[in-house]
Amino acid sequence: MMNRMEIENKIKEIFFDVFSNLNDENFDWNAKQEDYLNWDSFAHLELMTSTETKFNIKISPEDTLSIRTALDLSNLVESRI
Amino acid sequence: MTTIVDYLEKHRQDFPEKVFVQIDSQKWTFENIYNKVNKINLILNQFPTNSVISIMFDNSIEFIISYLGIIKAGKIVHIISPSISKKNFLEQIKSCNPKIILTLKKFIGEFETIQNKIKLVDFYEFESENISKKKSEISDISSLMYTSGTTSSPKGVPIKHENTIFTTKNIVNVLKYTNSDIDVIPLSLSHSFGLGCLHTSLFVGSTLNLHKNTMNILEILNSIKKNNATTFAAVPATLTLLVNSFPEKFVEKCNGLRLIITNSTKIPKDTINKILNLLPNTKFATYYGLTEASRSTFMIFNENRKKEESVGKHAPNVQIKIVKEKNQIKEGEILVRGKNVIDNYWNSQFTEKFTNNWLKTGDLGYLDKEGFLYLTGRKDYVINVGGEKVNPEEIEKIVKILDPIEEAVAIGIEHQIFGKVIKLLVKKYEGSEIDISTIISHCKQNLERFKIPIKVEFVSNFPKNEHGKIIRFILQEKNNGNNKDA
Repeated sequence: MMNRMEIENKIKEIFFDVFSNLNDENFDWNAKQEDYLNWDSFAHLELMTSTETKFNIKISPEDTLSIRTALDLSNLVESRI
Repeated sequence: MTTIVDYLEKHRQDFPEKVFVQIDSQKWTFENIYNKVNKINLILNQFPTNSVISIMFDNSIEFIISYLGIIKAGKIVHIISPSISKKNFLEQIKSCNPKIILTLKKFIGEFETIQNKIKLVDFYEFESENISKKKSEISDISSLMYTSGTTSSPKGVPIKHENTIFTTKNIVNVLKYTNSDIDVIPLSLSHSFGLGCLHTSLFVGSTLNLHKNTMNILEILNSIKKNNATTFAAVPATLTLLVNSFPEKFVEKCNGLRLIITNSTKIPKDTINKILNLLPNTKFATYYGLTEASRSTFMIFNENRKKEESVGKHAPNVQIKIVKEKNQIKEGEILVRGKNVIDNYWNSQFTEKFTNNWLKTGDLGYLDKEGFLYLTGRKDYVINVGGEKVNPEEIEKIVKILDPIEEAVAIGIEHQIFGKVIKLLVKKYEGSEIDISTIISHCKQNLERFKIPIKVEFVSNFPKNEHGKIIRFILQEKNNGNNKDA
């Protein structure tokens, strides 16, 4: 089973991949959608799809809507695996 | 010539202190916005008539001021979404050759490096430039937006002032907008649906409550209640999620709305009936239109309970006809004629799309005996991803740049939130190797987000006809039968 740190590392990878301007220095677990340059509905779709693939989980539309920060996504994944 | 900005001037005289735009907790009155718009107008006087000025903003006050300022100056405003791919950005700039691109510092870095011909200017730096007293004529064309073409290159859609005024009057008359409305808009202003909502608020002098992000659905619901909104415009995907996931909240927050308006991306019958039952006193409406033929029909579901699958009847003074080919019995291509329809595409391209002022939409559908229009599909293979039209050939062309790929086909598969998303089917050359992540990374570098496949499948062969052409509809049917994506 994956520990919290492993989950966080993978979530970070997903965020870096979706938002090319992000790196270890400017990444903030609590930054909200509106703080990002381009976190629109399609970026959200990409985040959810990548998370589903990487962790082999299914994210429901309700859960999809509750994700506002990288931390939210990390917590969701932790509760599922 | 009347322009949409004339209404800003009128409302500024009639009720200068009234709030025109609200974003989060910030508010701007008609007077505030008029003054800022006028300043941009005066600075833009340095450019001749028919100059194109591009704007690239997310939903923001800078978008609204720049858009209206350019129109007031009589120039043509070219609207670029900040989520545009670099390839399309370069193609659009080459096609319309703008004088400058007005944007915000946060977007400059990404686009400055890929071309140096056209200057990207920060809105606030531009605002501090000197004004020019030289006044030029007003261009007939107010704005230019690019839409996905049936070829893989984008089509420039030049919209005239008279198109905008005609369409806006129809929206106002059919949906009964007034200056006492408070309109909540979580739609991108870079698209025809969102921009039409801005025009409507401006035309009647209502208050526009603009949201930046469509994903914050619960915040939008709170904003509807908190601001005593009377109208709410949202894409079908948002409404479907709301009634299925948060029906109680939806009723609690939206019961004061007089109108919910959506657009013609396929809306499930179940969503329509749920909205009508949950909010019996709220008018629920949709329309059918293209950027090049905005709001061609209107449908008020409350008044036509048994026709939920229709997009309604033609808008006032707009004509719709169906042209069938020999083998078509019921459905045919939808053609539209009226002052909401553009005269031609930018640079007079794609003239084959028009005959006697009728626009061939590429959409398939039929009219019932009472004149209600039903959409049944597309003549081409354009895929609608959450309201964005995607030409599969564009994706395929990009993917085929990769050496190991012999053939690629992009199709739309069903998705609970976006209606359709992209699935890519790929055939590799014999003996060559490539993995899915390489294909996806390549797509990310070259395409807008909504065009990136969410699924990739390797196939050994594609079904082909006797001329060797891939038969897309077989792939489409096969994949939608057993490959839905939630």
